Amino acid sequence: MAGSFKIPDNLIARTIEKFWSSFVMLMTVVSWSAGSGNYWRFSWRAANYGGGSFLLTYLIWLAIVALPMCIAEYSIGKIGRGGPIHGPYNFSERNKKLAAFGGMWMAWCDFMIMCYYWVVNGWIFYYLLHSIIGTFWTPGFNSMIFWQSFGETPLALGIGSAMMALSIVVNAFGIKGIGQVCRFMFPILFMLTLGLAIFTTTLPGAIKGLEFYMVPRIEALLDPATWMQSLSQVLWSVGIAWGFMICAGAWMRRNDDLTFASFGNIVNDTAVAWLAGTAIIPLIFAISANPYEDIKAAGTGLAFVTLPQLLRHMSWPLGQVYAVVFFLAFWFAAFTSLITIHEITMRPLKDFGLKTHLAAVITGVLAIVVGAPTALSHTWLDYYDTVWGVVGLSIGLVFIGLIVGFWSNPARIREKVMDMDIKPFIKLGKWWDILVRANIVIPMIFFSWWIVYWEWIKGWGEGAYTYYTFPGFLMLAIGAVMLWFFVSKAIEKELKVTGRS
Amino acid sequence: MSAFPFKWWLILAVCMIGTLVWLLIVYWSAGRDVSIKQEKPFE
Repeated sequence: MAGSFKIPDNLIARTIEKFWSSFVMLMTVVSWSAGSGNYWRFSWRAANYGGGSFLLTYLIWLAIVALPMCIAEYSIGKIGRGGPIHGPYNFSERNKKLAAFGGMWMAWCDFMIMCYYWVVNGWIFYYLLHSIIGTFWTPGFNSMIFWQSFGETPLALGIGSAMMALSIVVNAFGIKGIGQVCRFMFPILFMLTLGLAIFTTTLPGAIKGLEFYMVPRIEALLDPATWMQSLSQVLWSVGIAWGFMICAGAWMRRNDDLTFASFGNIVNDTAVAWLAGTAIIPLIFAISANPYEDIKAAGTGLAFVTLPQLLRHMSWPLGQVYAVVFFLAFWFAAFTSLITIHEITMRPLKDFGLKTHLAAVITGVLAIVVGAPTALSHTWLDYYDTVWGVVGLSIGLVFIGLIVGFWSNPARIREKVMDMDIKPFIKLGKWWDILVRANIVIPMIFFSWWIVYWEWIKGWGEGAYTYYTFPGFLMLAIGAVMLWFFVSKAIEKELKVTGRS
Repeated sequence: MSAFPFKWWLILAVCMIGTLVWLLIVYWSAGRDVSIKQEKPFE
């Protein structure tokens, strides 16, 4: 079938950017995957949901969900030649507008997530600065009071906005800016995290933590929560169905191997997460008087309250060095994810021919305005996180499955992908077609579990009619209508001008 | 409607207005008469 694939009547992406080396490609895509979740979510989930058993289920989900879906998402960008609107539109053989809607759905979720992710970046940077000046080791320091006196203040807003401004500067240079930053930051964060993991395992008492973290507990494999928490981590952490892989696919040159990029994503993302867990959990066991209590902290609780308090008990300067290295690696991971998520939200504008620096400024400033309340209130932040981060992104995965598995011909796409590279890293077979199609049910299972687990078992509210769910669904529904209207109108407008309608 | 505190409707308004502005910019950016650099598809 070599050479017989003809791109149908399509939208032309008006900004052409390409990776300039395979190393830059790999560093950019793995920088996307490795983010704050690798540091403050993975270790908590692994420790609380079965330890070694969690790792086992995580690897299974990586193989059957993450790998085929990464390949599928990259192929949309690489074959479709464009970002969230252009890529799926050009790629699909039918339901093209609906495919573009799916791509923009992901970009919309990213936009709303970016609105609070700059805030998170600001928190981490603030803690990095305080690690350097040694605030955590001053007499009478209390990490909880310190966190509460910063977390919802104008200072958090200011530092977070500075992070977003930095992202605007990087993204103004397009792929050149993103590629340069990622190829610099990722190797450093990887080495720093590796160093912390090695150091932590040498601490007296760390072995108990390692056992807790790594030895499989068979009974945990029978618990659905283990499987669902690891699936949740895989979906979030690898970064499938956020639309970035569509954008990165469009950056690929003909010979850039997307199966290699996908493999790089899952291996490096897992490695960073696993190393971060190795750096954190044995440390808690080595220092804490109540390790089983401290290990229950997740997210902000772990990084901003538990760790600084524990590190005070380490002999100087070890505690301070650990803190500086940890928050530096953590910030690198979060910042590289911020600039890549920013790229997705500005990509439709670039594809329609807007200058890159203008697109970066417009989307960045808008994200600061819409996200400002999340810097001042954790309730707002949690809300954005739940509606777009959990529900919105799960729906995105359904679109990837539909676009590649049903609205195109997966067998033909597979041949095209295999044909593009001289020697693909992973040879795709019929198994890929089947998995891509089967994976549209995975987010549905995950989503149903999430609702049942949190709403009924954990008792968040009173069924579906709670403040979390009802206005959340209302927003997703209103947003979907607006998205459909503007995306279809924009495509019609563009096709008229490019004369290809 | 009374089941939800005012704050949730405020969140809804901010998010939807933000989304609308972003979409309006996307719509505005499409179909302008700017030069088209056409990339050769992979054959």
